[in-house]
Amino acid sequence: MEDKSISFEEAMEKLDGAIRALEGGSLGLGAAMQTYEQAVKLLRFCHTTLESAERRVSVLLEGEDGGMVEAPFDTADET
Amino acid sequence: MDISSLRERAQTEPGSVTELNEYIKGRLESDSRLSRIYIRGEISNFTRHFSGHLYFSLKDENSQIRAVMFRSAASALTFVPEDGMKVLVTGSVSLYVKGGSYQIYVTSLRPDGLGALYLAYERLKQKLAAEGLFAEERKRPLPPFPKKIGVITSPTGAAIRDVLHITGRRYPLADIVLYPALVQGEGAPQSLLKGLAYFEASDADVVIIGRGGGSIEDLWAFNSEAVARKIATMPQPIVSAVGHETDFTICDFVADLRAPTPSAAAELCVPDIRELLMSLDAAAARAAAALSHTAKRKRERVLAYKERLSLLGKGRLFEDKKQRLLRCHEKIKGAAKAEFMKRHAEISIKAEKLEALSPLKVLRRGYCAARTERGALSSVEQASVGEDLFILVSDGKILATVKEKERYSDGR
Repeated sequence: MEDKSISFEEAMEKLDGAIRALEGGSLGLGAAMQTYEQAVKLLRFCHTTLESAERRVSVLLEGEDGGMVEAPFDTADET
Repeated sequence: MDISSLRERAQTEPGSVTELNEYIKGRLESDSRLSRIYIRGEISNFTRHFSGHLYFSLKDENSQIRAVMFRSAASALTFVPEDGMKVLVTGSVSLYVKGGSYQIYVTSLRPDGLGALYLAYERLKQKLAAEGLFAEERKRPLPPFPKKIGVITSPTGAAIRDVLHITGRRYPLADIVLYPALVQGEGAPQSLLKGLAYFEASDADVVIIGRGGGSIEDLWAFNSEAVARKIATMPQPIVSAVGHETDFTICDFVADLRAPTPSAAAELCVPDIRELLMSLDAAAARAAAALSHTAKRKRERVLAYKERLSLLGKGRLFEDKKQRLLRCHEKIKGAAKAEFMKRHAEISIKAEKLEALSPLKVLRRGYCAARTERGALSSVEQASVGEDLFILVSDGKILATVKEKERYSDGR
């Protein structure tokens, strides 16, 4: 992907669009090849995103100024 | 102030009403047995001031006491109080100096008994439903791939553990932010409200609000009118997950999605990464199949063109011309035949006319013609007496001899 800031959701949507276009069968051979190449890139991006996922779990605590601040939330039960 | 000073002054100089009331107020408030009371009674003379404060009396069979509930406390009410309702009241007794009346300053008010609780719940439910807060068209779909999930629940309950466990297993892409809330008892509705207010201004794209199972009283904070109204105004979809499958709270009705349990809420909020990976594989297969299908169709079209071209090369063109010539020929033949028939018909008609004029036709009508060897007879002068004549009839000729001749005088 040229655009690194694309979200997982956008990538999934674009992928869906690319496959629909391919399956629609109205693309010329050149355009079909190009769309396929784009689909492959999107697939790779989605795979990488899913496999490298690392989430943050935080709990809100009351800060000194009365506002809420996020702090890491640890639970022994979490797997 | 102490009572002896008032008494002393009474003998010399009178004190003021305010001083007396202030003194009584001080006495009431200093009595720890009056500072946090819990009583049961029935509401009467209920009024809601426009400021949001509630004024009413509490009574039993023999007695009554005035009560006031300030707006801050009233905002956490989980039902709509009204006259005749049996309630449980927590508060403290003090004196309203201006009016000289002592009253209960109510901090929390709950319907008394399951029947009353249920009635209050039904009333609120009907009221909010009538306002359209539960309408299907208000419900928003959950984001398919949430980036941040807000959770409002107890930090120590089973609910947060379930939510973390399930979201972590199914979809570790989403960050989880917990607002540690009081989920039961006094102050729970306010705590839930604060949690909602926090996420209202956050970038969480879905919020789960809930708690694990408990008694109907334990779940009561989730029947708060203020909490329900707040949920209705949230910018992101709200999933409510209160108690067990069989528990329904006002929160459940107003939320965008009601999950039967916190675990179920977690499942509904995130996709399953294993399914996503499988669907990516399927997508890859679909894309490849679609491309090869496209390529195959193009190849087939090219082959079809080639076929047509080669047919043309093998005299297909000539065939076409020949066919066209044949068709022309047929047309010409057809036209000629038609012309011939037309002419033939014309000729037949003419022939018939001709025949009508022919001598044979005349003979057939009973006339006959006579001729000599010299030719046809049309005058007495043309034959002599004793001369042989041929008489022509329709089917042959008769030989005759002239015996005499007579000429008509009028020369006919």
